[in-house]
This record gives sequence, C-alpha cells and structure tokens, in this order.
Amino acid sequence: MREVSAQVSAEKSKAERRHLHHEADVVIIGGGVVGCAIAVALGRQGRSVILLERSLKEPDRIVGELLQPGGCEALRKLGMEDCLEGIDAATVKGYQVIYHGAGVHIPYPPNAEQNTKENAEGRAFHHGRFIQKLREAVKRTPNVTIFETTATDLVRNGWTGQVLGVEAQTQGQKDYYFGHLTVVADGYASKFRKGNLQNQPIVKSKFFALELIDADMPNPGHGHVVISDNPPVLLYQIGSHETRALIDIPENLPSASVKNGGVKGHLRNVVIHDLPKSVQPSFEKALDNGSLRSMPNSFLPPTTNKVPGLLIVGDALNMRHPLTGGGMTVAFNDAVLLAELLSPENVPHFGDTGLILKQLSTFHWRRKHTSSVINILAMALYALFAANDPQLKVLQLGCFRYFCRGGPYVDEPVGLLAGIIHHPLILFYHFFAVAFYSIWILLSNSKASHLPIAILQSFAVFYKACVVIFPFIFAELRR
Amino acid sequence: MAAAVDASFTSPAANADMGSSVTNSSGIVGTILEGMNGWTIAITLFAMLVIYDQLKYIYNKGTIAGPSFKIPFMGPFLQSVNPKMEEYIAKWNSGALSCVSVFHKFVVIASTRDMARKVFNSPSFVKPCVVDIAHKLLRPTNWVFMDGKAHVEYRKGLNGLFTRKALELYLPGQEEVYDQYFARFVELSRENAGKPAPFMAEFREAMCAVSCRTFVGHYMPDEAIKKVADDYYMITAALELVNFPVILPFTKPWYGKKAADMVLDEFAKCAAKSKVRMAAGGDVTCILDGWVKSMIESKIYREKVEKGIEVPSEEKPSMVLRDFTDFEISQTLFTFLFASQDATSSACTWLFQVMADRPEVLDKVREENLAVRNGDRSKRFDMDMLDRMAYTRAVVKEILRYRPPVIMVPYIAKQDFPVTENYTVPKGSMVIPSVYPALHDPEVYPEPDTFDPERWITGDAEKQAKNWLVFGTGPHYCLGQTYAQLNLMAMIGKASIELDWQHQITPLSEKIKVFATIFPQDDCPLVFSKRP
Ligand SMILES: Cc1cc2nc3c(=O)[nH]c(=O)nc-3n(C[C@H](O)[C@H](O)[C@H](O)COP(=O)(O)OP(=O)(O)OC[C@H]3O[C@@H](n4cnc5c(N)ncnc54)[C@H](O)[C@@H]3O)c2cc1C
Ligand code: HEM
Repeated sequence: MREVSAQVSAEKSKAERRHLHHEADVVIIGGGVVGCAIAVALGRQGRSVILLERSLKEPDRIVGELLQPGGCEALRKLGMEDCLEGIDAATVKGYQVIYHGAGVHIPYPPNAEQNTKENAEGRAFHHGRFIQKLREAVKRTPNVTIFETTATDLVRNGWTGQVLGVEAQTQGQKDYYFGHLTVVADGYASKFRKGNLQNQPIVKSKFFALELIDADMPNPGHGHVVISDNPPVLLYQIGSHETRALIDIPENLPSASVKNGGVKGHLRNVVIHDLPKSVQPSFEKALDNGSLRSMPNSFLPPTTNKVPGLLIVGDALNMRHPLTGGGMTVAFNDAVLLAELLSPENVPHFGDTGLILKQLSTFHWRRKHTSSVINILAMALYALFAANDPQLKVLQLGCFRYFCRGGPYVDEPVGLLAGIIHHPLILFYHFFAVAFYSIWILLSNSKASHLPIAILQSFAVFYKACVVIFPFIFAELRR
Repeated sequence: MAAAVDASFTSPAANADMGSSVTNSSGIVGTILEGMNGWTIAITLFAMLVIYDQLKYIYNKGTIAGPSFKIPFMGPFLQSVNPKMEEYIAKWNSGALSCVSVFHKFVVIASTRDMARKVFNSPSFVKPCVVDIAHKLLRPTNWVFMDGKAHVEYRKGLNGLFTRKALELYLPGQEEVYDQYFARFVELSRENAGKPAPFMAEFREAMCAVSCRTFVGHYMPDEAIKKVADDYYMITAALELVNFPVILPFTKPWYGKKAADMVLDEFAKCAAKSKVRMAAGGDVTCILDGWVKSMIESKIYREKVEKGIEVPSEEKPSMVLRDFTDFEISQTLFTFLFASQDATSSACTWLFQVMADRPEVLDKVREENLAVRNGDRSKRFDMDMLDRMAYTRAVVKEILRYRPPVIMVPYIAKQDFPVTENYTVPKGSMVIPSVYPALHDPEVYPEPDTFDPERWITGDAEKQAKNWLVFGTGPHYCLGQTYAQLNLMAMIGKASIELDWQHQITPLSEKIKVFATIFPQDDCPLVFSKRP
C-alpha cells in the first residue's frame, strides 16, 4: 500500500518536473511514427517522457500509408494495435505484380513465428489518421507529456559534448527541454544529423502521388506494382473509396522533362498506358482534378549512435526506397527492440549514459535482423524494377519468372518484404537464386548460334547482380 | 575554501614532496665522502641528514615556541594523520607563534587574534595553501588557486551572486530540499524503531543537496543530487590523507578524483542548460542562473559598445563579465560546494545537537519562528521573515562561535614574511592563522566555553568584529558567509516548527573530532519525529 502511494507521488513529482522544469528522462523530437511508438513504450515502463511535436494537427502526407504484416505485428507487441482501428483502414493480403501487362499474384504467407496457418495481413490507410491514433495512444500513456513546439537545436555539455536536451521555438518564443536521453525522431528531413551521423541521405528519384477515387483494381485487397519499360508505379487502396498511386520518377527522366510537358505530361502520355485498363479512368480523373504531390525517395544506411545522450531513430537514422513500404515496419520493430534494450531491467537509470551508449551499440547490430532485410530488399528491388540497362532487364525478367513459379519462390521473398522473416541470409540466397535463374532463362532462350554471346552476357548479368546488391550489404555492415 | 584549507592542515605534510631535501643534499655529501665503503657512507650520510634536518628546524624555529628538537625527518607526522583537538589547543596555548616541522615542511601557527589577523591580511607575503590533491580534483586552472590581482578581479565577478537580493531568489529552492530531508529524517527514525542513530552523515547529505539546489537549482535532477551527496564524502576523504604524488587506483584519492570528475560533469551539464534556459528568458532560480544572466547582459552591453551604440549608465551591468565556458563555470561551482560542504555540515550537526540539549533555547527559536509566520506553520520562508528572526540569528552566530567549523586556515609564505619584529617566517613555510582561539577569548566572549545566544542580544558580542574570524578576513574571506548564515537560520527555524528531536548524550558528544572541519566524536545520535 505504501509502495503504491510512493509510486504515485514519484509519478506526480516527475510530471511536475516535465511541466515546470521541462525536464524528463527522455526528450523525443518528433511525434511521428517512431517518436510516438517510443514515447508509449518508455512511458509504460515508468520513464518520464517529453514528446515534442511541431504540429499536432492531423498531418496530410503521402508517406507511410501501408503497414506490412511485420509492422502490424510489432505494433501489437507495443500494445498499440488498436491504432489501426477506426481509421477506415484497408486490409492488405499481398501483392499483385504486373509485368508488361502480365500479372502474378504474391500473397503474404502465414507468419511462421506465430505458428498459424492463417496468411499474414497488412493494413493500408490515410497516414494522417493513423498518426493521430498514435498520438492519442501517447496521450493516454502515463508519464508522457506532449508539447507542441519546434526543436531548433541540441543542447550540449560544452565540456564533454554530451547531449542534454533540446532548444526549441514555441509560438515564436525560445524554449528548452532537458533529458538524460534525447531521441531524434524528426523524420526524413532531420535537422539533427550533422555532426552526429556519418552518413547523409542520397536522393535519386521522387514518388509523385495521386489519390484515385473508387479505382477498379484487378486484384482488390492487394498492393499493385506495375513494372514496364518505365520506372515502377505502386497502387494500393488506403480507404473505402481512395486508392493511392505512387509513380517513381528518377532525376532527369527525359519523358518528364519540361519540353515533354513535365511530370504531368509524363503521367498523361506515358505512365497511364502502362496501367491496367480498369484503373486508367480513375487515374485520368485524379490527374484532371487533384493536385500532384511528391516526396523524395531517399537512401540512408544506418550507423551506430555514438554521441553520448543522443539516440537517432526512424527516418532520421535510416531510410530505404519506399517501393516496398518498409519504413514504418522498421520504425515499429526498432521501437520494440529499444523498449527491450532500454527497459528498467537493462538500464536501471537513464542517467547512466555510458550504459545507454552500450545498449545503443547492441541496438545497431540487433536491429539488422529486420531492418537490413528490408533496407537491402527495397534498394535491390528498386534497382531491378526501375531497370534501365540490358543486364538489369535480364534480371527483371528473371525475377518476374521466379515469382511466377510460386510456392517457396514467392513465400520467402514476400515474407522478407513483409517483415515477418528476419533472416538476412535468406534474402541473400533468393537474390542470387534470381540471378542464376535469370541467367538460365537467358541461356535457354538463346539460339545455339548465339550461345557464346549469351555466355558472355551471363557473366555481365552476374556481375551486375553483384554490383546491385553488394554496396547495400556493405552499407549494412558499417559500424 | 574551508575544506581544502583545513584538510591541508589536518596533514601539513600532504603537499610536501617527501624527502626532496634528502636527495638534494646527498649529492653534495656523497662526493665529499668518496672512497668510503657502502655501509659507512650510508650511516654517515644518514647521521648528517639527521643533523641537517635538526639544525634546519632549530634555525627556522628561531625565537618562537615549539619542541626543541623534532622527531627525525618525520616530525609529528603521525599526529597530523589523526589530529586531536586537545593537541591543537595545547599548541595554541604554547605561544602567539609556534611551530612544528613535518618531514621537510616547516609550519608556523599563529594563534592569537592579532597574529592571525596579521597573516590573513598580508596577501603580499602569503597565499592560501591547499593540499596537492586539491589541484588534481579542482583542476589547476581553478580560480581558487589564483593570487593577487587576478584573484581579486575574479572574485568581483562572483560577489554579485551572493548579495542579499540574489540570495532571496534561492530561498524557495532551499526550502524544497528541507521539506524532502526533514521527511527523510522522520522516516529514518521511524524505520529505526524510534531509537537514536548517528545523524552526521545524513546532515552532510542534506547540506550537499541544499548546496546543489542553491548553486544549480533544478538543472540537476534529484537522482544526480543524490549521487553527488552520496559520493561527496569521498572527496573530503581524499583530502584527508597524506597523498601519494600520483593517484593509484582504488585508493582514497582515486575514488575522490572519480567523485570530483562526476561532480564537475554534473555541474558542466547544469551550466549548459542554464545558458539555454536563461537565453530563453527564464527567471533566476539559483546562483548559476544569476551568473549566466549577468554574462548575457554583459554580452549585450559589450556588443552595443562595439557597435558604437550609446548605452545609458543605468543600463550598464554593475560588473561586465566575459563569457565563461561550461567547464569554467563547473570548476567554480565545484569550489563553492567544496568550500561550503564540510563547514556547513559541521555547523548543522552542532546546531541540531546543541538545540536538543538546550530545550529552552529551542523553545525560543520555535516561538520566534511561529511569530514571524503569524502562527501559520506552512508559510514558506522569505528574506523579510529571516530579517525578523533576531533570536534565531543569535543562535546561529553563537554556534559558529562556540564550535567554529573551520578552526584554522593554512596559508603558505610566498617570500620571507616578517610577521613580527623578531621573527620572520621563512619562504615556503606553511603559516596557519587560527580562528578558534580568537572566538574563545574570555576577555572578549566571557565564559567562552558556554553556549549562550544571549551574548549576541543583550551582550556585546556583536561589537567584537575583530575577533569574529569564523569566516576568515582579508582578500580571501568567505564568499558564502551571508548565505551560510541565512541558510542555517532558515534550516533550524523550519526544523523547530516542523520537527521534534532528541539527542542521546554520550561521553563523546562534547568531544571534538576533526574531519576537515569539526564534529562531535559520536556522530550525533538523534531521533526525529514530526511535530504534532
Ligand atoms: C513517398 C513515401 C512513401 C512511403 N510509404 C510508406 C509506406 O507505405 N509504408 C511504410 O511503412 N513506410 C512508407 N514510407 C516511409 C515512412 O513514411 C517513414 O519511414 C516513416 O514515416 C518514418 O517515421 P519517422 O517517425 O521517422 O518520421 P515521421 O513519421 O516523418 O515523423 C517525424 C515527425 O517529426 C515532426 N518534426 C519534424 N521536425 C521537427 C522539429 N524540428 N520539432 C518538432 N517536431 C518535428 C514532424 O512533424 C513529424 O510529425 C514512405 C516514405 C515516402 C517518402
Ligand atoms: C558555516 C559555513 C562556512 C564557514 C565557517 C566558512 C568559512 C570559511 C573560511 C574560514 C574561509 C577562508 C577565509 C580566509 O582565508 O580568509 C572561507 C573561504 C571561502 N568560502 Fe566559506 N565558509 C562557510 C560556508 C561557505 C559557503 C556556503 C560558501 C558558498 C559559496 C563558501 C565559499 C567560500 C569560498 C569561495 C571561499 C574562498 C574565497 C577566496 O579564496 O577568495 N563558504 N570560508
């Protein structure tokens, strides 16, 4: 009884310190996907948490709209699965890949870890609605206080360099928040990477987005990937009536040049003809009505957090091409892992900065089971799907044919993509299986007289496969 | 610098680099005695060194009091490791100036009021002397090691932080800490089944927490305050010992250095946070804030002047400061803690003991404290209230006189120092003005060994400014003296209306132990309960 009341009064005094002195165990910059998840996890563990968010209004963005089954599972582990309820989310059962007009069905397999025969499911939704649900979950969590403010700078101990908190602007006024640990979760355009991360993002293409109304999808309940001679297009339903179209446009794409009518010209003249017939009317309508929006597709391989007092997570730490819709799945899995590594059992007191740094080094390596797979797969698949040279096109065809074989040839690859298989080696295996399969197709399709050339070609294809995947693997092996 | 200074007295040999005179002379002597066999050389050398050591002592001693001979080399070193109050008193009684020699260090003790004042007020001949380890803990660049003009200038920049107006701002923070610790005292006694337990260590922790709150406010989280308070005794303990020239792992100095580094790190963090908060227009809640605020104001002023903008004289900061780094600020705050911790803990311990033993005095304090709060016990204290506590003030002054925490303050002679017409202290000697004899002079404070607050009200104790050496005098007089007294008044006043406590008198209760400052030898066994 006394213990309970002591705990209540400790919680009260911590709340007072958050409000009065703007001080907590943890200060999180960014109430987005990963920031909210970490706030809930740590708050429930009894840590005093301050969450800083620049705007608490419902965000209206074209990102983070499809949550892979592995992400849904992580959300469940965080005890936040109810955030997917009441937002008119669409169930996603897998993918439909359309390769030059031919389709292949790639359903999610059952989640082997869960000992179930039921196929895994993902969810697609309006990003803003989901984020608001996450924020409501934060509000209901004990020990967490949300402040609407814009972080402007990190506060550092001038002697040791340790990060001590955040300088901020609240309604034009200077403001400040202090914590033992500062979590940078301010998303893709993070202002706090410089000097704290070795890597900076690389952007080679953009996703342009349209919202189709009542689109007639060839395989409802599935994400559609359209592969053609042009960069890939994604289509997936995000509400009862709405379907998102994301069109990849690399920098300097000739058909999207100003001379050719810019991006709108490219969509109207080129892209629309690659789409399934049934989708074209709603696509055209969306083009006529809607304003076109875009987001950069960034690549940022992760590195270890080494600055004392600082943890960078989410898109601020690590990004991959959104082709496979893996960002939020990585984010929630990271939150689950952090909740374990930073739990009161493992880190009794957040003032122990040295111990936290050690745990963050463990974090860097342990998160690879999920994140490396998703990162490498996203980047490698994008290279194949946006193929713009003969070897890549060989691999692209090989990949499609590989999927067409069904069974384990799709179950494992899509399991990796879905974030329910956490084994980088399986990815490695399938990637090279695709490469050899592509070469086999190349050789078996060539006439006997062309065989010598085809053999030479196959070396080039193999070389290309290596060039595509190894840089991404090496990027994952950095400290 | 009560702590540093006093600790170095505790072991005057602490900064002696042991036996350096031995090696110096052996070179010369060795060449003269060339050709003799090893043992004879060794024995003769040793005999000559003993004689040299004695002659040097007798020469240095000159006309002043002190043993006729010293124990070869070591002198009364072993006593100094574990000093006894009676031995100090005997030493003071032996003469206005007396001496001892420990290893090659020659120490002159000034016991009378006038002799002590002379030393305190001769900054061109002497400077404060601290144990070697203090340089390692506080860092050599620390302001307390400055001398002369540099010291005076630096101090000017700090004076503003200890004005009455500034001190008023820190009171709410102090009261919060007392709330916490009083509750803890009661809880501890309850857990101990209402039996008396030594409270000295608890008082030390409470004083450390109050100091931290006053110095750095809420920038230091409670757990960190707790940690600093817990670990601080390692710093005092490190200063106590005769230290080895290098810090060996797992020795007291090693733990002390680790604790000091931790404290420096915590204070540096506070400095960085205060800079941000004050730049955002925060209000002053602690000494650190006050300091940072004047840095910000000074900077604005300097920039205006550089740009040639006219600044009206009333807008000019009273002291134009440069910007200090987080680490510099931290070092300085550390000296405050260092200076206050042992002395304030000592005064606090004696206060609780003496109040318990003299219920009539405690009753009067209680009565006065209720009166200034208009009978409302929950009223928070403020400066106005403290001003009206004449009796409580007298109690605090009397405890500081009766049991002065810092009994003497080691200085070192920078050059030959003609302290009287007949005697010159040799350069390099330690010179120690004593505080205790002046405060127990029966001519000035009748019945000096009686605790009697009345002497400050109806008596003339208040007029004896020359004997009031509790906080030293001269250019190094205590920077925190006003704060220290207000704090003790606030503490005992609040305790009187919120707590009851009993002292278990033991044969050692009135016996003084010297642990940097002075404490009752039985560590003050008390029981606390909440006043109904
Ligand atoms: C075009 C595109 C499509 C995508 N589609 C998917 C998908 O379908 N599925 C998927 O899983 N992932 C997808 N992603 C990736 C996914 O959106 C991100 O991985 C995910 O949103 C990252 O979460 P985060 O918490 O790091 O950042 P965010 O969710 O962006 O959150 C950052 C938060 O920080 C706040 N903030 C920023 N700066 C400050 C500041 N200075 N002070 C205070 N607050 C601040 C922002 O307002 C925001 O709320 C897509 C990405 C792109 C670019
Ligand atoms: C009852 C408590 C205290 C006593 C008895 C005491 C006593 C002393 C004494 C005797 C000196 C040496 C003076 C000299 O050499 O002339 C001194 C110096 C000093 N004291 Fe205190 N002190 C107390 C509390 C404090 C506090 C709370 C502070 C807080 C900031 C403080 C800060 C200092 C400093 C900074 C010096 C060195 C000043 C200098 O060298 O210029 N003291 N103190």
